[in-house]
Amino acid sequence: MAIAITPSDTGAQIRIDGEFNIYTAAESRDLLLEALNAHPAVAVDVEAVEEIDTSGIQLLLMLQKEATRTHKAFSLSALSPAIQEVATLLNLTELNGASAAETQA
Amino acid sequence: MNLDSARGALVEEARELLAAMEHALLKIETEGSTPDDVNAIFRAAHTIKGSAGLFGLDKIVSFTHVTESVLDKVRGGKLEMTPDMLSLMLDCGDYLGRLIDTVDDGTDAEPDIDQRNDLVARLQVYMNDGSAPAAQAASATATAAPKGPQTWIITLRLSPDVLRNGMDPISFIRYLATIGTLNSIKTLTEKIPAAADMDAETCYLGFDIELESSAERKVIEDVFEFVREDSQISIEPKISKETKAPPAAAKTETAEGGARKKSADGKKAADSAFIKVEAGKLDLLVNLVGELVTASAASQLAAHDSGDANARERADQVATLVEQIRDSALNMRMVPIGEVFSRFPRVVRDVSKELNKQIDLVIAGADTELDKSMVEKLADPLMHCVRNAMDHGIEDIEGRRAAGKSETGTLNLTAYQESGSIVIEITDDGRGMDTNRLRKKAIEKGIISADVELTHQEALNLIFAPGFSTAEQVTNISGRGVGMDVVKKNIEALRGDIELDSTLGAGSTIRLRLPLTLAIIDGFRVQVNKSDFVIPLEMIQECVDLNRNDMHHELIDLRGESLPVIELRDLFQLQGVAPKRESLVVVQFGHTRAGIVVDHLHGELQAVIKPLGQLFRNTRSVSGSTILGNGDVALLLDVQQVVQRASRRHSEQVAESRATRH
Repeated sequence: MAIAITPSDTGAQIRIDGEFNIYTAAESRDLLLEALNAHPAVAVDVEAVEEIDTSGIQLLLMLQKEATRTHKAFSLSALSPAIQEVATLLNLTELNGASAAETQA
Repeated sequence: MNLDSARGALVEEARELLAAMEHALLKIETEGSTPDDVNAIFRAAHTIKGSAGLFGLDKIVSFTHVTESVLDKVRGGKLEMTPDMLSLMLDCGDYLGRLIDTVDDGTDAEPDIDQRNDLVARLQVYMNDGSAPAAQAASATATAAPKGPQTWIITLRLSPDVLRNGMDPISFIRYLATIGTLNSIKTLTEKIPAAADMDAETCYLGFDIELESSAERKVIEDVFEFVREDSQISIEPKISKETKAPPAAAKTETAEGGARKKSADGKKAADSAFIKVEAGKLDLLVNLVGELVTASAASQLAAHDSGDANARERADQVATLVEQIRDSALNMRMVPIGEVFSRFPRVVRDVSKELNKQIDLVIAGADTELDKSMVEKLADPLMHCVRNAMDHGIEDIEGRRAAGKSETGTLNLTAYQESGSIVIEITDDGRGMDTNRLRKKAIEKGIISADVELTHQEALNLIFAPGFSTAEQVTNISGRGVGMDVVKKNIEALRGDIELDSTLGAGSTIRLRLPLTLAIIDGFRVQVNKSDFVIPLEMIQECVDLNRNDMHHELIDLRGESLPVIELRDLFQLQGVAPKRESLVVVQFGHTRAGIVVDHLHGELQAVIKPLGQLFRNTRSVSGSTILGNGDVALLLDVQQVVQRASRRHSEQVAESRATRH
């Protein structure tokens, strides 16, 4: 797993790849929260996530909620196949959001 | 948990499962096969195998494996539960019980290798049958009638720790998708807290799932087997769909059926709502509560003596609470007698086959509660009475036909509460007792002399005499040398009583009467001279002023009824002179009443019963002692003994007066 944070003028680009699961959940939470707190807008790119579990899903949902709560712009890239599979299984419409159309088509 | 106690738990669990298995098998025998029962049997075997595997108990694992394989075929509709298979399964259950016994006593030895091989060979026959043509399978499915797809509403509120424990709820849901169709799923995300409070390793998600599956509930339940603890999981069939078939057996429900159903339901509830507590801990608690009762009585007394109204009020309040604690502590030890009764359907089945008799067992009052320690001690005496009734009481089919009775005999096991006692009746509609034969036999055995006249009841009571057995030939069912005298002794050791009613040709009833509890009772304190006595409150009917003018020869005329009377002063040879106003305490045991003459009445108290020491073991009329609030010792009157003594003396006098008149 790797979380890469690229700051820009308007916000931060967060890219998560590889396995996004319980083994790194605590560490990921701190990194993601830090990025969100430091920037007015975040864009999360999850296209390269190869594996996700409940803790990973929770983190994405938490990030989304927290952004809404703190009135920050939040966007989620197209879902990787691994995430899409889980999102469909759990009927997680929240995650599909804007990208749902393109990934499901 | 250390290994020994874990093994103990395994043994206990296995025994419970075997009992459940037997219960289900017998139910199938009487009411026909249902998928639920077949599943219960399979589940029992499967769980025993699993637990035994954890402990490396290979003998159990290998044996259960074969049993389970056959059961799996039945469950899958490939085999039919035939009467032969039922018997085989019962035998397998018995053998498993013996294997479990070897775990319990630590020997881990094979109890009987020949029997094992025989059972395995018989099981193997079914295994081979299972691969037989599909025609048979089709007929089996018709009878086993597996349900079509059913819609289940599953709500998952998992323990927050599931992720930390290395489990992923998503994988459960993936698995659910493989055993059915996920019609809908709702993931609840509300529980996710604000970012600052969120622990990334805690599970916050909940799920509401609608699953359409032909799998049994158990299969679905098993998915969550390892997360059930601390999680709230409910799996319910969706009600709107009418998949529920009406109950297979449409025959009118007998009392037995009712009792069984009840206990089955009770079992289900027990799984979720009960915790297991070591018996020793409960005993300790009850002992402490006993001490508390005594201490509270002492403080209440001190408060009353001090004249401080406030202290008195507080002490009374504490005493009320202590009373409630006492009741709930004792109540924890109460178990339904159904626990003992539940073994009898099997016994009746086996014995009636062996004796070639047809016997229906009707159980009533299985939910009557009594003290756990008593339940254990009751098992053997009850078994003896039941076997006796089947062996000696109920006639064989020809005998019944000749007597103009229905071919099927009925054995009733009934329990109920009656004035502070538990009564258990074992009633058969068999041939009854021939008092002439009993008498002849007793004379032969030298128990009574030939010239003694006996009443009907006295003749019946002969069966309780040591060394008396009426069986013309000793069978292996009863008459193993343990007679009714031993049963009587066992019951009396529990402060109980046994009596027999019998009508020649119509049947017999054995009635056991037992106290509700052994430890703490509500008592009534009376005094003679300076000695305190406690009488169990439940046995007291009334207290009246004694009018010596109404007394004639140890009989009193109480509102027209003549009542035998015992004077405690005479009974215990106490000194002193009776006061002007004496009181009469009217007590009842069973159907006999008697009056007890005392000097003073002191009112109710809670009495913690302390057993009498070895020295006083043979003392009649006193069954224990208790410590009063002021530290004095009071003796607990054995009402049964007192009443019997009074009525015996009464009948002797009647006989005497008759003799003198002649």
